[in-house]
Amino acid sequence: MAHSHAQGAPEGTYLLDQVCTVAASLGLGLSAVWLYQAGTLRYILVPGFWKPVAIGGVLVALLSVVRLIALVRLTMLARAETPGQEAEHVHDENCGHDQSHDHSHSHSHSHAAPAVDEDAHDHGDDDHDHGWAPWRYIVLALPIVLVLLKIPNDGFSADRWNKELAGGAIAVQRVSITTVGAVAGAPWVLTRKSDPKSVMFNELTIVAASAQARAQYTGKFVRLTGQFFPYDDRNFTLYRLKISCCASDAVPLKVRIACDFVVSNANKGDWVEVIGEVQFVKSPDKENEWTPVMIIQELKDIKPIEKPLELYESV
Amino acid sequence: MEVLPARAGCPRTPLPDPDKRLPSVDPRAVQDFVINFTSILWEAFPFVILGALIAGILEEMVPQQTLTKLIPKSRTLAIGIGGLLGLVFPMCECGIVPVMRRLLRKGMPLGTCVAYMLAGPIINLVVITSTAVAFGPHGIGAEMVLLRCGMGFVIACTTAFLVQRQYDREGPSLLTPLAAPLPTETPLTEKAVSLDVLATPDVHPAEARAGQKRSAFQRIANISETSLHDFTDIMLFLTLGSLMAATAKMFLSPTDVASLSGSFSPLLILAMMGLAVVMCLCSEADAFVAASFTTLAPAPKLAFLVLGPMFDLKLLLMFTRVFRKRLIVTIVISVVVQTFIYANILNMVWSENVSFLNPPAAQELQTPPTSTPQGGN
Repeated sequence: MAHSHAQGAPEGTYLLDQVCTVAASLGLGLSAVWLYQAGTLRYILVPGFWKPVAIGGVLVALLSVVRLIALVRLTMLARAETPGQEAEHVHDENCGHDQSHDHSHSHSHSHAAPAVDEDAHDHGDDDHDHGWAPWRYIVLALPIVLVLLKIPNDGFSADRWNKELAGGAIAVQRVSITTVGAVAGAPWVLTRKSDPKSVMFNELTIVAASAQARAQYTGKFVRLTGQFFPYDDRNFTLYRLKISCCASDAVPLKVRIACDFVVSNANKGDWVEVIGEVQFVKSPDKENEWTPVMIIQELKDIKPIEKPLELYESV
Repeated sequence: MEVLPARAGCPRTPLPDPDKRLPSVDPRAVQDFVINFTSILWEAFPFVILGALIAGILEEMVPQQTLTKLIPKSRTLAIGIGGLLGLVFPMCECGIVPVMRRLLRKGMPLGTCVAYMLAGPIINLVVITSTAVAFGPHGIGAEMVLLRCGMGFVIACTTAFLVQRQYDREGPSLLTPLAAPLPTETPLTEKAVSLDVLATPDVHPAEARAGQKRSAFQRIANISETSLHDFTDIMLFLTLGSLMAATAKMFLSPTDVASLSGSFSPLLILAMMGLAVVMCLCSEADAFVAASFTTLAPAPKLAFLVLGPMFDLKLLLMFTRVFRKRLIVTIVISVVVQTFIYANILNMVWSENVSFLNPPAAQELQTPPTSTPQGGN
């Protein structure tokens, strides 16, 4: 990259630039492999992307090694031989390619008239990728430094979702056990089996959209793992982020929790597992919008747990 | 906890919140920023490599002007083919930039390249499927796919025409040196490629390189050189773009836009377009995010889905590696203005989230549950 514009600049900057390109690529490649190896990718990507990142990293690392070998060969040849007849031939093969990108510059203009080439510099002012530009490598080092610092080492903070979780229909309505019971029209007698099935947030969200499915799920006891987001001491939401590709597209899925006692064993953002009865509450202001609700009977049904291996739900 | 909505008849006991006393730079906010930044970057990473590798192989293996012979002479046809090329060569928006740049260099017409670059990330089977899956549960999967692809194709081709016209007037000075096509004649002599290459950057060995006989190592070395060059070049601007996106996301979130719903619809469309530019989502994932805006009409969602793959912060920075400012301005204005106009027209005809292909009555019966809990009573 450095070369064509380094008029008068020592040959060393070209080499330095090439070495930095190789170093940055190698660093990024190894970082990708390390992210995969250390399990950091689970904070930022869906499992389907973990392998492509690792394979991409290996590929870039391999390309860097090949390039490094070619560069070493090139330098050795250049050092060993004076520009005589034979060296010329070798350089025909090696150096030529090394310059190719930079020289394309001149080709946007008349190839036959090298003098015109100088004009090219005039409108190249805004995006010269020529010359030794250390800032490029500082920017490229940033992701590598983050990997070395081992961040991110956790998912999004709970406060990140304040707006999403506290706003909207889900929080507006104070869900008490009695309103849920009334809405569902179910007799307020709960029986439960010892080991209820685990459900996903996505499952309950999809079910909430269909009348048939709602009827099927209403009154069932299920187990749900999510993060705790309190409204007051007996009203809270469990949420879990659903991502389709990366953490940037995360959408919080929520299941409203209602109980008849003060919840004292969890704080905002804590991971908890709850066991309770599924109900659906109609949104007060919108047609056909139902919120899944779980009714918890006892405090022991709200169990703080360790952060699970899969932070996100993905579809 | 100041975010809790204080509703009448809904008394709440505010919980003590120690976070409020922390200074404004919260380590957890930094963490959130880093997650946004790294997730955009590393998600794009494999695609950038793929793109760079394809670019390297193209540069080394495809002789100059081969592509020109394959593209039809008719300009309309050439641009139309570009718009549909994604169906044959699916690429997402990050991977497509380096590939497109090398195609340009290899002599593919600018119009075709721009049409491919803009429409490719929308009109390909992966994205079509993800859009259908995301909107399937809402009963409007087919409509969203059709409208997204249709709008994407029209916008991409119109923009490609404008760009081609501008190129006819102003020539290759609209492109960065790296993207400008090589001249057709290849007056390369043995004499020209010599040691002097290091000192006089006037000769381009790559012209003669492709299609020639070389040793396998030489070929791989050349591919590695081009690929790494393109890889670092695009990664650099991807990093900057991801930083910008993560910064912007701290100030504009999907919830802010959703809270506007019910207001003036052109404003909503604009807000969703702004969100698409800021969020820098991959075109495979954006449909799921758009579908999560349950309160919005379809037109703002489509504006989000059509604009995002064509233009966002990371793409803007990546464009600077291919086009000069004047051309970027043309592309961005054309894409943004057209998206806004078409979305507004659409909004007048189709303002409810109700399928027009299926009778609405059939919708309630759709989406049966995937399974039934076993532990119920």
